[in-house]
Amino acid sequence: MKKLAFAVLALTVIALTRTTFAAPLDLGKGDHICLVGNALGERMQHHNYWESLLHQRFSKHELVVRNLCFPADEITVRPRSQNFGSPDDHLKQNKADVVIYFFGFNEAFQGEKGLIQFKKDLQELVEHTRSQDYSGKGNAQVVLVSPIAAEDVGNKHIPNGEELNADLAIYTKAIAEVAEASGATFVDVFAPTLRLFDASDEQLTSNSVHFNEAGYQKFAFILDKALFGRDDAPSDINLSVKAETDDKNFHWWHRYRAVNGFSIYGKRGEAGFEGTYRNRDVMERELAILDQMTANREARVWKIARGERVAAQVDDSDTLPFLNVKSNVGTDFENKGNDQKRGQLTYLPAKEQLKHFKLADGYEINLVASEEQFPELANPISLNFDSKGRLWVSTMSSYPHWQPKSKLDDKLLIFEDHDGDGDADECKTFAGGLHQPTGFELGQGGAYVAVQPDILFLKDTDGDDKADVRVRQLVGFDTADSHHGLGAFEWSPGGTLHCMEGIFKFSGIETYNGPIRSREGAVWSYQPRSEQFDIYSTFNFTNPWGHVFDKWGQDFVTDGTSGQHFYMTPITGRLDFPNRLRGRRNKKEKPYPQFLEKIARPSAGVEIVSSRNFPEEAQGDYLVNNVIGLLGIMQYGLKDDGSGIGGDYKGNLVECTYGNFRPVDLQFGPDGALYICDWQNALIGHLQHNLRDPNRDHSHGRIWRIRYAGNELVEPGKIAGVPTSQLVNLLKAPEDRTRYRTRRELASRDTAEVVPAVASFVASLDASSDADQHHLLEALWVQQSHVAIDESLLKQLLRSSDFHARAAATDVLALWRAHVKDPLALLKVQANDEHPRVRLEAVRACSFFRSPEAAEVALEVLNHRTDKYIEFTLDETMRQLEQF
Amino acid sequence: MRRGIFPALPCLLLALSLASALAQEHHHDHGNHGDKPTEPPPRIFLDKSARVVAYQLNRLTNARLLMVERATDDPKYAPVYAAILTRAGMAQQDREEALKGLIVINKTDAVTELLATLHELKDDDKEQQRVGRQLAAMLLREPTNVLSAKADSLMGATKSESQVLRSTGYAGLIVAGRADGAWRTASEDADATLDYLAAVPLVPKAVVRGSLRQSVVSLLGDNNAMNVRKAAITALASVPASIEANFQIVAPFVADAAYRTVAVRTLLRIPKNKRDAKTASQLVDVLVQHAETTPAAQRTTDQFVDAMQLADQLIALIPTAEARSYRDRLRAVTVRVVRINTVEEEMRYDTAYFAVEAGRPVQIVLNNEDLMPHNFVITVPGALKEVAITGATLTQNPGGTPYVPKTENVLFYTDMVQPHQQARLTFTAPTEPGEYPYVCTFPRHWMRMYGVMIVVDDLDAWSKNPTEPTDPTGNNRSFVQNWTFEDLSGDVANNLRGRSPEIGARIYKEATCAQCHKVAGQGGAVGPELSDVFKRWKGDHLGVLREIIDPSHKIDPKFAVQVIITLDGLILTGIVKSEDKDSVSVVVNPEAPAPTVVKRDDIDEIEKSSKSMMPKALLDRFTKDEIFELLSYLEYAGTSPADE
Repeated sequence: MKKLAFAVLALTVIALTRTTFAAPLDLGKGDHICLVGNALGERMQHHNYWESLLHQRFSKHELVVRNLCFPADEITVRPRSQNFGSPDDHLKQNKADVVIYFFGFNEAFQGEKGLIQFKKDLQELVEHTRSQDYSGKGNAQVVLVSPIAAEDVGNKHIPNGEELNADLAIYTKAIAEVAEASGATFVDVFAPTLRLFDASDEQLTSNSVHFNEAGYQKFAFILDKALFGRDDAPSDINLSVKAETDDKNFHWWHRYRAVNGFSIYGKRGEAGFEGTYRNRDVMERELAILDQMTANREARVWKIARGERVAAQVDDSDTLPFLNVKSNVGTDFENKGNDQKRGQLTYLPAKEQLKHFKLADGYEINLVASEEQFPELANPISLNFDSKGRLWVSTMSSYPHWQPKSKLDDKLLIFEDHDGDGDADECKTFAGGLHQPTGFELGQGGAYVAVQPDILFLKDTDGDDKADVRVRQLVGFDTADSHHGLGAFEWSPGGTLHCMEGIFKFSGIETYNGPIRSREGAVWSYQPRSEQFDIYSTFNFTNPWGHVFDKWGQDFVTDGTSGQHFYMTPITGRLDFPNRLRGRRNKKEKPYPQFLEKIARPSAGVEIVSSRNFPEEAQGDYLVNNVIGLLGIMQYGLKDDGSGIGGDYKGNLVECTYGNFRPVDLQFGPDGALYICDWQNALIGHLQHNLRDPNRDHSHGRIWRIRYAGNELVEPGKIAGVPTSQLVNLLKAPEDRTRYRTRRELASRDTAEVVPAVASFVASLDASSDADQHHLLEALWVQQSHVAIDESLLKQLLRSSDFHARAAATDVLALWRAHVKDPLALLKVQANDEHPRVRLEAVRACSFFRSPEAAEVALEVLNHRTDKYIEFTLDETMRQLEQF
Repeated sequence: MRRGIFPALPCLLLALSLASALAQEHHHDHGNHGDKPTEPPPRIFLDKSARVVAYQLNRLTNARLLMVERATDDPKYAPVYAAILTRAGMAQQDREEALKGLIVINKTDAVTELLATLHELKDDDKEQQRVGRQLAAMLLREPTNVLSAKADSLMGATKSESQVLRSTGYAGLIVAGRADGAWRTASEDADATLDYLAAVPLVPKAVVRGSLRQSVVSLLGDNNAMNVRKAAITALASVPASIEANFQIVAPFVADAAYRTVAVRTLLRIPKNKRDAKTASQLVDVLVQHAETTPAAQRTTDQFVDAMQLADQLIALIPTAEARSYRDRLRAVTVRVVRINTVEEEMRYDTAYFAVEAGRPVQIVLNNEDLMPHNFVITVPGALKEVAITGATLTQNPGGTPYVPKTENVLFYTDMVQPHQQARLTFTAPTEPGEYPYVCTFPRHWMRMYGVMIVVDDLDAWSKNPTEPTDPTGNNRSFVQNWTFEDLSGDVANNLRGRSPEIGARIYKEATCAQCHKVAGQGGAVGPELSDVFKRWKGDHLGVLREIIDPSHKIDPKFAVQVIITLDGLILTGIVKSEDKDSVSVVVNPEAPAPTVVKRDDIDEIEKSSKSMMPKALLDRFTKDEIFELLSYLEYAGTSPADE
């Protein structure tokens, strides 16, 4: 099948390219080449094979290459954060003589019906570009690069590329026709990559549509040949040239995709005024320095390519000086806010800080780690525990923004407690060289780490606890503001990884199903086994900074900036872009209610109490970190509220009278105690001080642990190294976090091993016993994480004796709708369930279908009593379904 | 579709895409009545429970609601008709169709259906109140015998919980010829009496309202409660019988602070020629004293302005010397106020001319009672047309006021005044006597919307002997009749005989049709093309005639005026050219090349009306013959392309 499809497509394209072969690209000395377009081009600056080859081929030309691509870009759809500058602005700034366009991949998802518009847009783009004199030396030359083919990666959860290739072929043909008609140079990389994939045994893409490292290595030669029309490129990539190009593009990347864009060129560039300088002054200077550093490195690339010697160190002595700002701490800063809660410039030793905690009755707190013992623990932002029970912490001493010329070295750390006394004895650096790792999560044998605009996947393959694999797993998140995300990583019980972003951000992520975009504030979802990436909630969060699932899979998100809290089921239905959920955009909308009353803002991190160490009356409570108003942890009791969930404020688990205590993350550890990540900084506001305020701390950080004195700590469940057939039994563990880590481990193991183990586990349970319903649900979730459709278990749980399980199963049904028989008939039963929670889930589930029949099912809910959650969800579901 | 949506995003940078998106929007935009939208009708599950059906119908826009399949042969369609009947902003014709549908399905009659529908409306919802008034008007247009047969139901309505329904019940009884019975019931208690008085203005026929005079006047007596007396004073303004006497009866109430506001309003509504000099003189004295005793801070309220407006009008009726003395006293405490209203749907000011004294201060209070924004610009004599034509191009007028040219020809002006808003313009009148035109310079308005401020040396002398100014636009047509459809709808075929296309074409031009409509490719593009208007109406003369006389009777939602209020408080009035999930494109200025695009996120409120952008009363300066010349012209305009 693969062969046949290949043959047909290849013929189409080959026939076409023979007749329309345009003039090869002609480069002159000193030409500036700008790459513009989608992720195919964008990723090339991280895999510098083609660029190295270019310099080797034209070593005397001293070419200037600037990569201006953005993932998910289409010709007419290039959303950017505020004041980023137009494509023409950037082409002008970089004096483009040659513009190489990478368009057509994202557009191709429109299929045949989008073709005419695409050609029209492309024609206009070429004409416009050719009419511009960006360089001052004359009109720009235009090159149109076709999309690459989709690869069959042999993963049954990922399309084999056949369907997509049919569309990519017609878009390639369209690009060729436009090039022919407009006189642009056309570069066909579709047909050669189709041949390449067919001939290669090695997997060359990560997800069928994006090259991996090996793919880009091969692509360098394909693109070179197609561009210059001859097969005489140097046969090897010169690794010295590539190393220098890597360094050059590292600096270019941090210039063009600078984090905190909204505080540089955007509106908050005006902020951070200390009497002389604003953020914009200071940060634009840094960008100018980066431009100089990029050029300095590129000059070395030319020399190396020519075989000339260069100095061991780059000479950056010609760069502009930094603008040094003074602190505004001690001026208006001193006069604002609650005295007691304000940070202080004198940092107390951890031992002293301990005296400032005020705990709820019966609890005690101890220091797990501090910068005093482990200097690496500077500005910790997120914590987690691995299958071995070890504490992981991400740090970002460079916050809010790496400064050029310094070592970019934010870290992901592992702490080991060898003697089990509750404080760390050893700190290992799993990965350094990170930038603003605002969130991370473990899984699939490695770690997913946010380094906006990317999510990296880091993996240790040789067991030395140091990452030796580093892949840009997901790319295209916005960099408008380093502290508005990407964070709050959390696995859903069914093995989907979630993370979130806040306002100012316009992200675009390419997938094999087409581009996925956000318009500020979004919660994302990623299924690693199927590489499915999507938007999970389009609700208008300001800055969501915490996400947690309860025992039955119901989830909650806190909006950090506002300190508001939201029950997620009603706001996670499907709504096609560019629509967004209503309820929080303007005062005209009926607001989507918070599920509990806000006490203080802002909040960072939420957790649910599930620990035999904690007292009985605290079980199931919702905990919220607060970093300014309270400096502590608020505790709410949760209860059913109609179809949804509500909460009552119970008091504070802990408060601190020392103002530099900044709890930004929290999680129950394997021992059943609560671990708190303390950012430990006098300055907490991003906006209130200059990005380079000298009083922003870059060296402090602490991890604390709270336990209940009245109960023993919990014996940690053994996960790592336990055979799968035994590990499944830990799905019965009482602690949510133990089961969470068990599911995460099972999700990472071999499907062939896990699915039968889960089947035996299910067989060992009593389907008619109320007590076993939750265990069965856990089993279903593990199956879900392996995309292992278990229709019979699903149907069993859809009609479980426990409404919680029926509600949770309804969510799984929505996800498996394409794989089970007559899903709408099953959903209709759920929509008429006796419990409103199940009906609510059914209405949400309907939003994922694309048919009027789904609307009919959703409307069934009106045959029963409705409440605020159901009514909100029905309105939004109907908004989606009315288009079909 | 996706591309069309994107330009509304604040971050979109590419100018190219904006251009292509606009080009694409143009595709979606079907500019005339003839085009049927291609989107399929909404799918409503009519066999499901009433709650489901109501929920689905409630989610539809007016345009989509009208697309829902319906027929009178199956009761399942009743909720669709009911939804159309009660939906705000529906055209009269659609409401009538819906009512007919309900009557057939329910095997009832109009009165029963309308009373039942009114019963369902919420009294506390402003939009529903508006719908209620429209439904009440429909009910009261039913013939006398029909209403009479339903007297019991109407009597029942007078006991309803809903105020609108109670008054409609009384009005229905009155129209049905059961005024006596209504009066007896209304006399039972004060609340019922108030409902009865509120019913008076609802009665459509002037002669019937006139017949109620005795009962209304009887309620003015001091044996009645104050709120009843106030309501009676208000009701009397709608009673066109013994008007001179009404003037005299209401006048004394002005002296009483408790009744002054309502009394002044009623007196202002009494035509000037029905006001006698003696009463006027007494009133002037009271009003001048009132002006002198009102604290300065309260001299800007609407009530005070009303009172001064009345005083100003009455001073013209009293002897010159006396008048002069009162005017001097008034000048000492307040600026002379001239109140000018715009007329809803007619695109004109209610005042054709007024006089001011040279070199004296004056305040114009402009109340915009129309559905679209207007301004008020005073020009030097003879400059109306030039100012209006230049002004119309100034949609954006950097450093100035939109639509107002910066030239010596403009003397005084207001900004654009939004619907239901008021503007005050205070200035010192020119020292040079003459006829100074005032005009609305919003595009296309000047042809109808203008008047003359006559500057005179001696206002009181002029008032004794007012002279009508020359029309500043050169229009020498004078008012013929305020035509209604019924005035013209009899024997149309006969009236159309022997008409000449040349004359019709001239009328077409004089009536300013071409400003907004195209015939054979020539003309404006605001309204639909008229070349095939008869084809679209399948040769229905009455249909076309009604379109001309009452443009809002059947209004394609595409041409209905909508008022968009943004979160920033900006008000845009115009017709919606296109809309998508993300934004709305509004044609605010017909001269502007591109519509204004507003993001839905930025919209606070969209107030939909069922009113056409086309003014009514366009033909009130034309004779019946001339109107039929025009109608005949339109019938054949499409058939001969080189018509002009």
